[in-house]
Amino acid sequence: MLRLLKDSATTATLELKQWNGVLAQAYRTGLLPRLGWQLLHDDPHSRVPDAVRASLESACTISDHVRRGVRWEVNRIEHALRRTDAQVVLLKGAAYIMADLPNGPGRLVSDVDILVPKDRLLEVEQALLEHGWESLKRHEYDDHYYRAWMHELPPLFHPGRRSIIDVHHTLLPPLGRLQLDPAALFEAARPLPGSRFYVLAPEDMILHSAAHLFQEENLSGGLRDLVDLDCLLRHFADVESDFWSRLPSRADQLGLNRTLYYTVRFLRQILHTPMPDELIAQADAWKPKWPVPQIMDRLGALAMLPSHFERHPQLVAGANSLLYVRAHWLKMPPRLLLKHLLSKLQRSWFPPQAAEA
Amino acid sequence: MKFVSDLASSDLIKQARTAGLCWHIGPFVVRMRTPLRDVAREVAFLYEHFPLGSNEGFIDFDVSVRAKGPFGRWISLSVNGDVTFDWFRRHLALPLFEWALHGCIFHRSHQYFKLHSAVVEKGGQAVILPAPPGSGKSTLCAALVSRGWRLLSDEVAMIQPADGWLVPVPRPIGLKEKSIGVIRNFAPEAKLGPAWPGTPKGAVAHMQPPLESALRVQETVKPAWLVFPAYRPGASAKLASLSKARALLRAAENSFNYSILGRLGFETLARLVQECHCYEFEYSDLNEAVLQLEQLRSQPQLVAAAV
Repeated sequence: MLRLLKDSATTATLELKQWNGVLAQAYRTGLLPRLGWQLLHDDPHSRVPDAVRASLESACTISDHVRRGVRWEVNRIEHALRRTDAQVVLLKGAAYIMADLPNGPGRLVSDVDILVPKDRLLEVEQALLEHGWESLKRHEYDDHYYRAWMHELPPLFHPGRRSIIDVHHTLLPPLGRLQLDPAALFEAARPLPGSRFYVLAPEDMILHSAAHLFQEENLSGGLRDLVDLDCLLRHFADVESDFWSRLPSRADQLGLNRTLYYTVRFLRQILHTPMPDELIAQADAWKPKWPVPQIMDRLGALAMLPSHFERHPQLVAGANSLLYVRAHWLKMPPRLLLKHLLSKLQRSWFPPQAAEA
Repeated sequence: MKFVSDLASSDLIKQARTAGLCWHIGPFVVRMRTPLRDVAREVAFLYEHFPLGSNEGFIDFDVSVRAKGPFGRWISLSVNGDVTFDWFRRHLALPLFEWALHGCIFHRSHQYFKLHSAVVEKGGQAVILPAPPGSGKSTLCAALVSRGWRLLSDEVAMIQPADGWLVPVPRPIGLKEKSIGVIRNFAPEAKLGPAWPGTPKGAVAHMQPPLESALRVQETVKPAWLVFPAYRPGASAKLASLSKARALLRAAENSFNYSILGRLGFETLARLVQECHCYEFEYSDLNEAVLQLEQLRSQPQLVAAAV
């Protein structure tokens, strides 16, 4: 599957029964529609057997449906926020789709993520609640957890459309080990033509996607994020001037050097993304001390590559647990972390009665 | 062409245990891999009239059933490598296998527009019977199939968006609880598998698709009628004309992928209701119901006059 993603011409070398494994892996990693788009619409060199074509087309149908859904959802959010002039930045999947970036087609999106300035947070939340969204986390503790410690509000759910919005005020947990100043992000954000929404500047988009991948819990969804990163990097390198030098200086400015190091390392190892030597050297200078890179290589590969999941599921489960702990470690200081985990444990043993509003 | 029934029992079991048993169900290729001999035999019985497939080719749905736990009293079932059902009691293997295939066909395969409905055909004309689960459509479908109608499916109408024609995907008809006894009475010659108790839907048994339905699986057909069935105890069989607009909305509610297909879904459904005669159908007695639908087929002008 990875070979196909990197080079559609590989289709010519596959035997019919090899496609079974490819499609199964693509489905499991959320990449089937992306593969479908690439092989059926993007690349004239690909040759897909008829028997396989129907499955790929079916997957593309689903991602087209998702794309329509995202466009409509963004439209509804715009409607809900029409009375506030807060700067609202679209993030991740919604941004890729609305900005017509090359990884939009074939992208599966489960929620819409937006970034708003912290001082406008309550105003935006209020507007959304007035237009039919409801706050998902009902329990008091979770609410407090989100508002005090996290970089986002509890998710907002719209019962009519069954959609979810995550409202962020910064991109990384504010009490975590990596501190990020959102002001710089807002300043560099670019407006979407014909819309009140913004998207992150190209370097910030890359760094956000990478930070999300390398700090958050589920690296197991990570292959999809790596494919995003690969696609975006190639695109921006093409259309933006000086992109390869802007990226590392922005990473340095935002304090995300380590994140860029991991990005470069994994993209080169897994997807062979073409990058200039200067970038590679620069990123390498930011690597953690031995044996962290080697451990992360191993854990990352186990968590992200579908063939490992097939062959050694227990090892993968182990890697995921370690990465889960790591993500929490990065999210909050040890004292708070302990308190948070104990509280979670307590609530899983003694589930509270759900408070009905 | 070789069929599942051509395999000797020992070969069948060995194949299921090793490379897997492959067969074609309409446009799909299914493979079952299981070391459990009884499961292999039960599945092979239900699909005995279907053509064998090749392990060297592309497989749409690769289903694996494994025993788990002490004495193998539980099973886990996975599709294309992903666990779909885990730690279910062993005796549920066959119903779960069928439900797993339902999931595959209903929720993937968006190259077709799909209605949650039974589809049967006689004399080159097809009736689509959309209805929610538990409405009795499978029982009605089993009854029709036992009276000479060809089975295209008891659960899903697969429509080609390009031309609006129906693609057969005949599978064992799932009968629940009381329906099992009703169909045994109605059609004693029908081949039913064992009744499996204790599923979330009560006891479930499966009626084998008749030989002719399986042999004619490649024959697509144009839909002629869209009939919404409703079982009402004590009601006499009655067809009532349904406006096209209402029929479209009701069909959309009974569709698996109307919104997923977007505009294409609307256009396909609009063409369907345009080209079909649309009815609501109330019934309680199966014999009456079959007669009424037979009359619809053979003397449509009379039926049209009566409604």
